[in-house]
Amino acid sequence: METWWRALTFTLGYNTSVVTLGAMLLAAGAGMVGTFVLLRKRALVSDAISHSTLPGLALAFIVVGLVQGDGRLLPALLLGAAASAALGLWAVQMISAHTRLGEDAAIGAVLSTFFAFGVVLITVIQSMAVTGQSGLTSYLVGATAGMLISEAQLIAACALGLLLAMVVWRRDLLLLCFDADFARTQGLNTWRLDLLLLMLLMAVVVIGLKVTGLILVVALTIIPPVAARFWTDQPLMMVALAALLGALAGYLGVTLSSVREGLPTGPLIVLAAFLLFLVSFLFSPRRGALASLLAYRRLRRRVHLRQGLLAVAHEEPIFDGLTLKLMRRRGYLRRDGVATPLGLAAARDAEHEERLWALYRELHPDDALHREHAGLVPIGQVLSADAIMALEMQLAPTEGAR
Amino acid sequence: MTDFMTFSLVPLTVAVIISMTCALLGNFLVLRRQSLIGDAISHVALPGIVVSFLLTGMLASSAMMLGAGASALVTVAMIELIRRLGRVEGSAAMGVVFTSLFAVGVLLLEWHGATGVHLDVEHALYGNLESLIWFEGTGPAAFFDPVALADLPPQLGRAAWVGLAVVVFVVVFRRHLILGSFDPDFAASVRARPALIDLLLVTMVAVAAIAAFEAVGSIIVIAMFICPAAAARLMTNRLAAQVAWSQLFALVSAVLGYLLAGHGPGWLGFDASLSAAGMIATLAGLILGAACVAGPRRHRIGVAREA
Amino acid sequence: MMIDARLDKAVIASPLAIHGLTVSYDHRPVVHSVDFVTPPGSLTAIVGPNGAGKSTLLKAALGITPRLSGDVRVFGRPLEHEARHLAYVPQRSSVDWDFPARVIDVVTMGLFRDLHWWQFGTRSLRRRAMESLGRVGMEAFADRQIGQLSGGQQQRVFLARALIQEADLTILDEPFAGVDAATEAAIVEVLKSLRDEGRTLLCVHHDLATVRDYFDHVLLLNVRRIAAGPVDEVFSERHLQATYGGRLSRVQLARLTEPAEIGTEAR
Repeated sequence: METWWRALTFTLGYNTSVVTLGAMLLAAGAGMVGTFVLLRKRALVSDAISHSTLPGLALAFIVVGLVQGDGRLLPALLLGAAASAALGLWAVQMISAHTRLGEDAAIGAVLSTFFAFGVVLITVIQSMAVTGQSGLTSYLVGATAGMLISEAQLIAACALGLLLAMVVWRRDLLLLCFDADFARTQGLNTWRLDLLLLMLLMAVVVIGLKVTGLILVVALTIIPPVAARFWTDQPLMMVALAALLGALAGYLGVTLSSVREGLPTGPLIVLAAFLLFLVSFLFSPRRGALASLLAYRRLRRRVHLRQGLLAVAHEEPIFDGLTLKLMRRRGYLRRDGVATPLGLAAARDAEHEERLWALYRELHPDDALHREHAGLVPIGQVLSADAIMALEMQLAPTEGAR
Repeated sequence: MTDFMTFSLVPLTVAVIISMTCALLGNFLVLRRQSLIGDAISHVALPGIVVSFLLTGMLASSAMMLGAGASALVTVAMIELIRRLGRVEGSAAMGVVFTSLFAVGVLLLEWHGATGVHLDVEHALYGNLESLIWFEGTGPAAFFDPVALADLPPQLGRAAWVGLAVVVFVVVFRRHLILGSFDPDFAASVRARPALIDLLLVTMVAVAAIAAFEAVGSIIVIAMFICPAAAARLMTNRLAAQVAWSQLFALVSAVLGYLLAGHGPGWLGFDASLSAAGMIATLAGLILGAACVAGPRRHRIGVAREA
Repeated sequence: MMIDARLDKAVIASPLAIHGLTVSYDHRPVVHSVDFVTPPGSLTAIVGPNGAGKSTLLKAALGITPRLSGDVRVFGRPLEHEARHLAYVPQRSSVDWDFPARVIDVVTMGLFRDLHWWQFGTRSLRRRAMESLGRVGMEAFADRQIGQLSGGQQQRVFLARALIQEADLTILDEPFAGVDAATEAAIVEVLKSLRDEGRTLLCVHHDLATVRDYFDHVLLLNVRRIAAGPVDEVFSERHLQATYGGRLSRVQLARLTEPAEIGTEAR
């Protein structure tokens, strides 16, 4: 607990602080790119990118290892990873554009085949006399514990560069995500923009390899944007929020992993992000699950009550079990299904209100459609007292005529 | 010959069974444009196994299968909840769920790594087909020797049972599967229970992924689900023919991949062997690549589904 | 299951009686408290503007989409036990026509309920499928790949799949969307011949100009039921105005609601 506090306050030493900052910058960048990718509805493309880095990593490791005897050289490994990720991305594009297979099959096939080939190359490495082999597995699930300070600085610098790039291009990217056709009419080269977005995504994934590992880096590009979506409808706000949530997840994850020896960083960052997502998913007042569920139940109760009351008013039988239950609970019906005086009064009110709404819809069809209310809200909450009075006046003669 | 029986017979058989089983299910994943469910479920096999191991303390088939089934159902339930209640796009919901559950698996594995578990992250990712050695399989006589047969690696029996179950499932529910893949609304209108069939399919995928887990790991199995079936889709416009092609591709990639991984380096003069699981999947991917370039039915003809 | 004694006679006679059906999306009713008793032996159109909930109403009535409230009965019994009386023709664009299947395979899907898992294709199965295809003029295409069909041909195949079900009530979702004139005429002819056999048809329809020619009953829908009944009584200016909320011009309305001559002349 105390170690965690010191990690949280950046007092656990220079190395840990740099690693923490690097991971935060990276996760912020991933959250931003991820938002654009999510809005472009291609969230799982990053899954293909990350898995297809493995053969490039392994090949770079072999080449560097043959030259200098030890394969660990972060810049070379990242270059190799980027090259094979680009190849994988190209393969996904080609398969989904030129064959009848969907993008889903293309992504699944490419990520698994590339990964499998990477595994084959790793067995090649295992038969070679190259040191630093255990370093390679750290790219699978991530490890910041043994990270060199130069590596952490490189990651932080790249992540910062990416953040800046995205701030510069944010408007073009947003336009692309919202309405690619419109963007095209505005003279934007959407093909190049798509490429730019994918390159940014690839860069984030490749830089993130060392921190979270190649399987979990996907999470950083998906979870924070999805969580951010719960809090805002405004795209730029969503980008900013995703960056913030990502950074927070990185902060929590890295500091937690310094608490005990052998706690893997990647999974902790991902779980921290998931926790943030869970809170957003459950408790967001706008789109959260609890709010949705409550709104659904309220609507259902209103509809059933209204239908039940109208049935009482028209002296029709009620078949629906839920309607009967709600009516009884309100004291509108007796156990044997006969309406109580309270129920009869409520039924008269409901019928009257239904008539007012019907008249309103007839007089102002456009208005009624625009408001899209179903007439379930008491009319007094929607219309002014004068408007209701006018409706009552019109209704009165027809009432009398009955 | 003796060497082959001891070291290669079981791994090769397991590879063939798993490969063909996964390809059979893969046909429906590809047709439903749900390949990524296969991706998600096979990632989630890891936490499923780890949790069932932590609960029962052993790697028994039954516990693993239960763990796999449970984790698959949890995954699907979470994806659907997030998609419906949170109104999140399906693939994004999937990404949220499977990465998080995979993270749980890795975390638990590393946490308990020191206790000498017969499981580690590398195994979970690479698989280890080569470890399925039949020590008593010293000659043809071993096929009739109960003692030697009892020594067969348990993975073989597990793969065989799962393969059988998948075949029975597909044969019995073939009309449900086809109808639900082509026209889910119509399927619901004739009470073919498309949602239930979806769930059953996902569960079968999970069970197959678990059977494959120890042999080929949780990521390479995705290639076995998707690549042969996707390649087969590019060969024909008839469903029965597509299934047949997928089985052929699965068989070829399993046999050839296994032999190439074991003997390929030797032919080149190196004294080493490569990952058989990796090689099988790589070959499956190459077959798909070839089909994409030259498959007779590679182009789309119909109008794609809207939305 | 016994029929509830409190039910109306019309409900018991109807192949599809809907009561208080509400479906919500995004916490907003898209179909609200709709009552509709399909007259047996009728050819009924469901008409309304885009987003009026026409397809949703049908899907909810068939149990494909969950409903918030409401009661659906087939000949007075709950739908759950009587679904075999209904055949459904979804919108053509709702499926992937690149699916590896032949025309005859799609048509035999209509026999799903009659076939057990141990039964494979038989000669009598094929004969029944060919009969259905014959009624829509598509026998020659039986072994054609479905992706190679035109829009109109796809729609005819869907209709053939419903015919093979020999249902009392056939529910069609926009059967005329994006089909050629010849197909439209052929489909109308099949629908009318089904009605003349005493079967009931319920059909989401978009083209106001043809309502009078094709249908005998109409349900005007805009989230709520606006009006329903015989075309001559219900298809009036007042009801259309209420359905479309002032979005139809006077001229349009006059054309639609005048006696049929103008409508036929226009084509």
